[in-house]
Amino acid sequence: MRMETLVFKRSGLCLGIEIEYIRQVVRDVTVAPVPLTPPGYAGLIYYRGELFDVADLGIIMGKQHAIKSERTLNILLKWKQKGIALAADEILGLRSVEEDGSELEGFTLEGIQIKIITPESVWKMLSELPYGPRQI
Amino acid sequence: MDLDKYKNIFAQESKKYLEDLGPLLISVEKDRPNRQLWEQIHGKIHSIKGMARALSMENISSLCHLMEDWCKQFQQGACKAGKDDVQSLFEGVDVLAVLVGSWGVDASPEQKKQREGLMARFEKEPSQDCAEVAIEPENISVHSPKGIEHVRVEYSVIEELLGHSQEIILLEKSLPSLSENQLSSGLKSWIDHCNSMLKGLYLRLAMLRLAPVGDFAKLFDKTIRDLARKHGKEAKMVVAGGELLVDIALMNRLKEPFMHLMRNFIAHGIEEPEERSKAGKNKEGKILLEAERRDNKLLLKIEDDGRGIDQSAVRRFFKEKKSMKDGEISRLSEKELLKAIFLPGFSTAQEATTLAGRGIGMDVVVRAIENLGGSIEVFSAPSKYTRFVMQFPLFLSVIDAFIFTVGPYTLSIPTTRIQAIESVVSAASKEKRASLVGLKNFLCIEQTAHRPSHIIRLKSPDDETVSNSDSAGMRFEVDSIIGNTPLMAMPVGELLAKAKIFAGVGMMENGEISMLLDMEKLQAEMES
Repeated sequence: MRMETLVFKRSGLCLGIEIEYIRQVVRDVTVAPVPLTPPGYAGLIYYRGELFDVADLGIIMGKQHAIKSERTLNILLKWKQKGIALAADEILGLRSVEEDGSELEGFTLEGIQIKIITPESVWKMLSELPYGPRQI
Repeated sequence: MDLDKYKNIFAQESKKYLEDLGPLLISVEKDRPNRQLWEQIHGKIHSIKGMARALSMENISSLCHLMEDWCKQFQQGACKAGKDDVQSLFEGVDVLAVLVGSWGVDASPEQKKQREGLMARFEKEPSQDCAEVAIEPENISVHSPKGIEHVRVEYSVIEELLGHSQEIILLEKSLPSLSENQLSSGLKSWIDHCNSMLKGLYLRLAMLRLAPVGDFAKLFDKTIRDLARKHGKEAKMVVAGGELLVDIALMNRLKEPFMHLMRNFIAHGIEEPEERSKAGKNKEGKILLEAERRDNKLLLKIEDDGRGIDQSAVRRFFKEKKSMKDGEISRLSEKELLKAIFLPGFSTAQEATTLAGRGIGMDVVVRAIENLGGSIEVFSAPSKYTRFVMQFPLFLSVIDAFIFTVGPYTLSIPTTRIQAIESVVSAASKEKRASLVGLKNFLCIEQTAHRPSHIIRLKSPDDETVSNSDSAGMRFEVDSIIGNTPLMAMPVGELLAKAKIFAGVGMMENGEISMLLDMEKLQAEMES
């Protein structure tokens, strides 16, 4: 079985996510910053009656130079009734990978190393960040 | 003809008629000679029959036909309906609901047997009071038809409309930049007007996602009636604050916990009619549902007027299941005792010992409510009532809120919480500034980034009335005031709930987000 992934770039990182989870890719949607949240939590997006927690994987995955921008490209995901948005700088394209092969961890596209992520792994990363007073 | 389309219309319409039949049968059960009610019941069954016949759904149309025959007799006064007759009609409605769901086909041999048994029953004459009753024409009232007051809309259609209107609002952002020459002031004002109209439309569309609490309560009318009948009791639900609009999603998720509460009220709380009469109570037990919005919380109180929680059974539970000593148990406050009904083991003890009281599976109710970000408390008085008070953070609802900015954040609080707004200049005395709460520090905002413009003074949480005292409530500086405006409040998600200071996520008319602060939690966090 092959799996279609959307490949995108954030803060120099190249990431791929299965398109099955993608609800929409949106530009020019305001990300509202929220106080007492960690830097990797970029804010909230309201889109078509639903709220999406925005993850800045550039920051979460250790690229400290990531820039928080109010207007950017966001990939909206729906997973287990949760709305997650991935902040992105650029969409690199679609790539089909083997679902059960070695490519599941990551693959190389035109010489660039792509890391595959899932909504579950993003949610886990977001959940493990510190929120609230005295945590930030 | 597009048969599938017609079948869907049939299913939608029939479900509506069947939903209406429940409350009508409950009413007629208490007032069996009421011909007007029978006329309405007859009309609804007749409508289902007509549609089913057009679609050749024989099982549905013939069952409706037989039920209609009975209703006609009761409507014309040729025969008085007995209690069992009404029960048969209730069963008929249940069978019809299943048949409508399976497009008129018996889904199983058991279902077929049930339908045929019921049809055989309707083929006979009604069971009681079939003596000739003279029809008094003057008693037959003729009503002019009411205009259409409500329409039924699929929830998904509302979502689609919201999506479309939001996209139209976002078109503003793709407006190409025009020079002053190209953009006349007339055109600019026209665009601004269009935008403001669209945003207003969006907010009103969003309000379609709300439904009155009274509609939620109606869902339980038939369940209460059936449960009471099963236990040889009589009970009804009364609603206060039923007009309060609440998010449909919240109500849907409260259905199961409420079913649990109803079962407990009727099985354990409400007494048998004879016992109630002896105690000087109305034979019919009452379940009262009260809905209220307090600040940024939704309060739901539900109580019965039954025998209350048997505290001796709770003490036995602590002794036998929790190995507590008599001395320890006697030191427990009433509140602590009552809270035992929320413990997981409590239901098992109840069932095993068949003790009077309540509590079966109440831990499940607590979990469901906590998963919604809510809390539940129990109160009880022997022979008088058992009351559950539930509090929920704001789910989707529209509230009047005061919106402001602090640093890069747009925040809001319900307008009802505000006592006064002062400009920083007018409140510049040192003492006044000294008493301010350091909101910026708490929210980790750099002091130099933005200059405060106003001071917001809140009412004291203990006293919602306006007080002139400076110390009445919390005071804090804000950078700018956006204004007092209706805000659509949505629940905070799992991640933001961890921040512990938000009551909800507020949507402004322009589609932008403002975080709704829970001032009690904020104050508690700041003081801790």
